[in-house]
Amino acid sequence: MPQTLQQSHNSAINFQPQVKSALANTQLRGNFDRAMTGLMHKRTMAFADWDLEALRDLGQAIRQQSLRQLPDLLEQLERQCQANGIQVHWARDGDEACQVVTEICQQRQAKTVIKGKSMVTEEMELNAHLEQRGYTVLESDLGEYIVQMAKETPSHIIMPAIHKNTAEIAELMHTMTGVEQREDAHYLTDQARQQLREKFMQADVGISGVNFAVADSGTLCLVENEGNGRLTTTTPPCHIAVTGIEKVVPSLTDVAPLLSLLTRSATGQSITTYVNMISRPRQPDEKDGPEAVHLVLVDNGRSDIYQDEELAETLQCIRCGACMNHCPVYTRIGGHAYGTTYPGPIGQVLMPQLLGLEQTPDFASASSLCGSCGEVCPVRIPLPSLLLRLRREAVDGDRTRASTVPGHGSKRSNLESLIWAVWRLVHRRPGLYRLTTRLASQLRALSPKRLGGWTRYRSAPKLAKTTLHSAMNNRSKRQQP
Amino acid sequence: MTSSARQTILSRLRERTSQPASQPPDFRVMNTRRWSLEDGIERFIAQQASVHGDVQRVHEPDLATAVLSRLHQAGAHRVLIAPSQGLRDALVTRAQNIDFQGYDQKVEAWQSELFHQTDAAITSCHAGLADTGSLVVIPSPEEPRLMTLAPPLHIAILPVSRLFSSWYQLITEEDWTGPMPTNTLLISGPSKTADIEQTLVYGAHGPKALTVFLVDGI
Ligand code: SF4
Repeated sequence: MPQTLQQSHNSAINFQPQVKSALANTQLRGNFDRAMTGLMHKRTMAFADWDLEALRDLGQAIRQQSLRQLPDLLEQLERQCQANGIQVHWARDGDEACQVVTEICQQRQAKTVIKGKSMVTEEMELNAHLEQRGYTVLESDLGEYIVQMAKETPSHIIMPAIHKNTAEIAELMHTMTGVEQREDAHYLTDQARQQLREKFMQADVGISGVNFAVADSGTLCLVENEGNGRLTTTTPPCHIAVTGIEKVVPSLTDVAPLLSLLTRSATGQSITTYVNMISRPRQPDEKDGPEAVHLVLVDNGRSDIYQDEELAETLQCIRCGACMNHCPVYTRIGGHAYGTTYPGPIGQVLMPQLLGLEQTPDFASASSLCGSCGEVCPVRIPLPSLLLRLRREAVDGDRTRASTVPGHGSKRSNLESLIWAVWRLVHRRPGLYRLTTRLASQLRALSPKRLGGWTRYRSAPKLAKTTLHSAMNNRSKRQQP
Repeated sequence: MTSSARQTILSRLRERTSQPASQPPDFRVMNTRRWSLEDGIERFIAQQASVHGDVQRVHEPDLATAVLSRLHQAGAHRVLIAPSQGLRDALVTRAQNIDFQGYDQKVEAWQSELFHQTDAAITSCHAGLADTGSLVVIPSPEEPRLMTLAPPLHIAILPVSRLFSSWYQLITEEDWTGPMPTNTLLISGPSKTADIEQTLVYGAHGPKALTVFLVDGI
């Protein structure tokens, strides 16, 4: 079911029906509930011996400072990478980035491509693009491998297959690869290890994401547990790293605190098994590693977001997933219901800016504004206020006003605007206000019992017999001797 | 295409006129992560243990014996070790049934053997980090990258004198700004995954076991 829910480029995302079916799926809700509860606990434990607020201040300051110098840092990164022998490419959008990758694959006469986990390549739908052109593309992160086998998309940015339980995975691997159908995570992991080892050796190109790109040394940092990222960037003769332009930081000194925040916020680990820092292709005296390393810098809407001082904070994100782990909405509906690359609070803030508000009309409102996401975000992105900002953008009256958010004003309705105009008018004139409220309370018997979705789960509000004003007036009259 | 893309992106970014106010980064919190040598050793061992890494503290004269017994315990027959590794001669003279070899040819020439028939690799470390129980490994022509990745058992030799409190301390003391080696790694425990219903499984795509010999006296 979820696999068909990817958005198409020209129609609004079917958010509401997807939410309904997700809510009706008790298996799915159980899977997410268990996982998210565990992750919240692990995160708390992991920060127990830290001054977390000071560390979050530092994380925020580093990301903001990096963004402030973004164009300069990108140029420095490019210079440094080139000096190290890494070839740098730029792409304005997803299609252009896919094209860059395809051209490299063509030049290398590649047939098979192996991938480490990368959300930006999900964003640009790279797998589909390469497959259409005849390349065999294989995901090597275990979660991504499972999701790819099921022809689905990731339901969480850190744990792509979190929506599936062991029984479902055992059945899937049995059907797709012929291994025994054993509900045993150890057995299944070992089978995947063997299947993929062969593929690593055969692959012509390895494609990975980047967690942090370091400008002053031209270093690409990749954070992972499985070792698949290291294999992807070491065994094939060519490595293509793809990253959003916002991932650059000045130096490795800045990576250290961000890394402390990232792994603890994401999975409650004090560090991942591997932090892989790649600075150049294989040198003449070296015996392994790719002979060619490419870096693809993808904009895809980021430079537009960058123009708006407030919304630019979206770009501080280090993709830890903590906001989704702590989101009561995400926990109940899971990642697929959003139907976009990035789900959860960061998805609700980022996707409308990338796809446009017309296509994501309910994203900003699908939040109780409980504030958890903002409280846990390691780089202090004010997610709740950004959601409010997008709500305002969606009903913005002046469609001609320059806004970095595509589709601003698309949710404005004449009826709603009229109601607010009347509301404003009535509240500005005390006489009119008293008249209206008195009239309304006298006509209270006529107030509707059914109010669409609202009364499905709640009783309809009813006006009081007397207005507060007259009640207070009567009381003060009674109290006077 | 990509040169005009470069132009477009950079000039669009430079169109932003207002620069939001932000605090300069205050790194003091990173310096609160400091341990004395003995506390650091204790923390290093505990942190490694928490991710299934095994740490054995030995004195230099006992190192070869300890490493050998670990290799025997793992049933290793074919072991990679750099020719320049000081330990090598002691191991070779004492070992029976173990073939020690260097990673002395390009990977293309023996990839399948490396992946399927090598039981263990012994490598040096640049440093150890107490805070997270990590090894800092810098692959070299003698100790290439796949040495710490392909064989199922990784044995790392870490002199106590190379133990730092944290990565941040190491970076700042050694001044890791500017050009870096081809590849630098932080390794914490054997490879693992929790992608199947959050069940933690060791031995995902890299080593299934990691033993660190923390050596006094070198
Ligand atoms: S918005 Fe914050 S909490 Fe959410 S993924 Fe990004 S960094 Fe993590």
